[in-house]
Amino acid sequence: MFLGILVLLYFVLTTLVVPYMAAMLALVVLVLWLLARIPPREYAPVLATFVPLIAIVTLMQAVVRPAAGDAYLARIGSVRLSSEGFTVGLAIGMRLMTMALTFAAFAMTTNPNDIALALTKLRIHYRYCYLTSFALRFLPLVQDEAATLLTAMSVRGSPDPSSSNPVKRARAVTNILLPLIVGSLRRSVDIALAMELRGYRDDRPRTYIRRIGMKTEDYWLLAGITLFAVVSFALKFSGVLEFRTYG
Amino acid sequence: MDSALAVEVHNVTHVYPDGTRALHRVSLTINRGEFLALIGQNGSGKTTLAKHLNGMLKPTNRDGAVRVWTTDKGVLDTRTTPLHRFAAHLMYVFQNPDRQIFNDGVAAELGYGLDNIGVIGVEAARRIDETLDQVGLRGLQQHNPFRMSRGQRQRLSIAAAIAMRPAVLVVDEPTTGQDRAEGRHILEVLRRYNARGNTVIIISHDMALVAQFATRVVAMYEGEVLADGDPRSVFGSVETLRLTNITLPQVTLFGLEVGFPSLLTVSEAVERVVAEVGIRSGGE
Amino acid sequence: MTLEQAPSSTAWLDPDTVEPILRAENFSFTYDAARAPVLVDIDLSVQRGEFLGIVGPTGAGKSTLLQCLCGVIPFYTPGTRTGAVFIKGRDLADYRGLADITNTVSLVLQDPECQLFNLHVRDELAWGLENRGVAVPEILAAMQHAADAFGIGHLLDRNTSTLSGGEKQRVVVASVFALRPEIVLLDEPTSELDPVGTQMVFEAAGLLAAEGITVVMVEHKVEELVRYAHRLAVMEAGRITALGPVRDVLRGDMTARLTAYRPHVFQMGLDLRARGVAVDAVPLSIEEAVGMYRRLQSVAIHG
Repeated sequence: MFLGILVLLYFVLTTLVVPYMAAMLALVVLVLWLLARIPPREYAPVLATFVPLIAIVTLMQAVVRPAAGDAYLARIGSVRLSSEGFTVGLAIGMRLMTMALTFAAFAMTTNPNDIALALTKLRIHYRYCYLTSFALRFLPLVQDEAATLLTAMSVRGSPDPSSSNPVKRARAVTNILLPLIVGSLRRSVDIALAMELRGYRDDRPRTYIRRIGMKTEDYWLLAGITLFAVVSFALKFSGVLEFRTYG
Repeated sequence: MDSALAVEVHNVTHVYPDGTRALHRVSLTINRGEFLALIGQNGSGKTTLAKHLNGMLKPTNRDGAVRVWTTDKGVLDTRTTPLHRFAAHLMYVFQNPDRQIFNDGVAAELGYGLDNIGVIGVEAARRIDETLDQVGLRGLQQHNPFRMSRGQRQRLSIAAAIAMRPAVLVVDEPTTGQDRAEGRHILEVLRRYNARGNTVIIISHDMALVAQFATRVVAMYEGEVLADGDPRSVFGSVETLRLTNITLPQVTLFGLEVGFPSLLTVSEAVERVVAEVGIRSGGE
Repeated sequence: MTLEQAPSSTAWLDPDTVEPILRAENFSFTYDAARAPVLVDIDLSVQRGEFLGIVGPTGAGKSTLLQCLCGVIPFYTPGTRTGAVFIKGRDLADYRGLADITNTVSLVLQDPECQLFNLHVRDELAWGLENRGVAVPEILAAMQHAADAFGIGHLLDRNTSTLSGGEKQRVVVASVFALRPEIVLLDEPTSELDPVGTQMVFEAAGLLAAEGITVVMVEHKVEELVRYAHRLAVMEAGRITALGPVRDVLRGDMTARLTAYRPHVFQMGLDLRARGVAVDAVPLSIEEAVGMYRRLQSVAIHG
């Protein structure tokens, strides 16, 4: 899975051609659907939040970019929208969406324990591998605390947390940093002690009850990625499609 | 408008985003000066109900409403009044003190809330000193809350709320994480606040303390009010309470087993037993 | 385990017959940078298999004592110790580090949130054994035994964050149990829990005792504690001011502040006696109180 992401990332970042991008997006969706059995409708709402962002980027690019020759899409007053800019903007937007979806796919399909295990196989010391699942275990707690703290601020009469002014909201967040940090520090001391009490040791070898291995789906994914990479490279070097990072 | 009313809960239903129905058409009238205990198991809706009182949660049904009467004859509707405007009138103290302390100085912590409601300068300093005395944290103005014990931080959270002089004070589980003496002390602080004419509402699962301090008990079960009345009558309705799995105080349960009407305290139990079996010489 | 099931023979309470599994001798402790000692002249012997309860006000040094009995002090937290602590007859100072001691003595803390490190309950149960490098088949067997013993089989694939407070602490106790310690110390484990969760944890402590593990539990909820404890210790201001069988200690002369530590039915029994009512055994539980009353009734009726 990890490898797959790296490959995808490479191509995403090096291409700007819209149809190609669309194809990549479709590919990721397809992979998720077939191999991981997650239908698009489950994450469609999240993707929908990207649409405004894409629209903005597209518009910006269309306005900012000079067009080759006279290929203008439209003209509103003195502002000209170039079709090339439009294309570029769209491609960038799709790049963002594909990247986001890929990372999300990673999170959705991979058990954090397995991530930690995979890392140990790469000979990284357990104490670092463990951090990933550890963060996932405790992050929701910090989020919870932050939410309660902000509510408590409102209860104490502060209009900041629910203010429409982002500056005020930012100030509210700085107000809760102290208790959040103190709480986290105190907790980490207790956690460290509890871990030692449960026999955690840095120096001795451990055993693992979970094992990770390649399943059929993983092989299909590997095959798919390889095919994709080969095709993409071929397209790139044969010059059939223009691959540019940024105009 | 009845000036003896403190909070009115009218036909409130609350369904959480994940579909759990925490409250179902709950109506409750809380009068000024009551010392009310909300009891019930986790999931009964007691905390959800308490969070509606100042608008932290709002009814999910259109005709549900929660109204708070202020001492200057005003009414605040939780749907239309923003949360922070309730601060001078109804204060909610969360169970965990570490989720509501923002400053590294005790006096600053109390001053923070006062500042928000426009109490500053000499008046603020006076209130801070007075409040710290009332809760038993006298002289600790310059202390760092984060270095204080859990019990002291809990008292500080209550002090921060009381300093605002709200007519209604809601405290979620005032005795969690305290030793017996501290727990009792906090309830005494609340009783004194109540004695000054304020309405005090606590959520608690310490039935012995509820029996001793509350003037009114509201028992919740599965999102509805199961029983509502003074402690003696509520604790006496055994059949009703059996549903809730609430553990009544030891003396109450003892009394119910042997056929006494609801006993609330040890001394009541002693008197009752003496009356029933008489005194015989020869006791050790 | 109820009071009725507690061993009635007190032979094992006699320190001369059997070497105590845990012993503190003339022990005092002062934290670094503290002006006054937090523990003063502690003498304590705990017998194998007993359930010792410790009560007392905040600041009495109860947590510190537990930490000194399992090696957290001095191996994790520094300070000045005088006197000695012996685990199974061996001086604590002779151990090389905390990791060696946790094989024998383990400690359960107050906050369940800080004692669960894995996303799923299954992994949590295995974690301690994984740390020790135990072979996988043995780990799986130990996990199964712990899950069965503590009735958490249905929670194995649950996300630890979604458990209730009581369930969390129960998982913690089960995970500690999986490591087969001989002694388990519990520091106010029900402090943050509601009555249902409290019951779960006390039951878990009782299950530990049923497995032959020596249990030392610091708690404020005396009504529950006295249902399981054989002996009770009272701590005030760094000292042990009372130690002995539960009933004896509760009957003893306690300062006004500490009478709050008597279960209410016990206090009722004492007050009745003080009023001249012929109470034979002061009740520790509601059942005992009812029994006491019925006996009084029949005496009153039949003379």
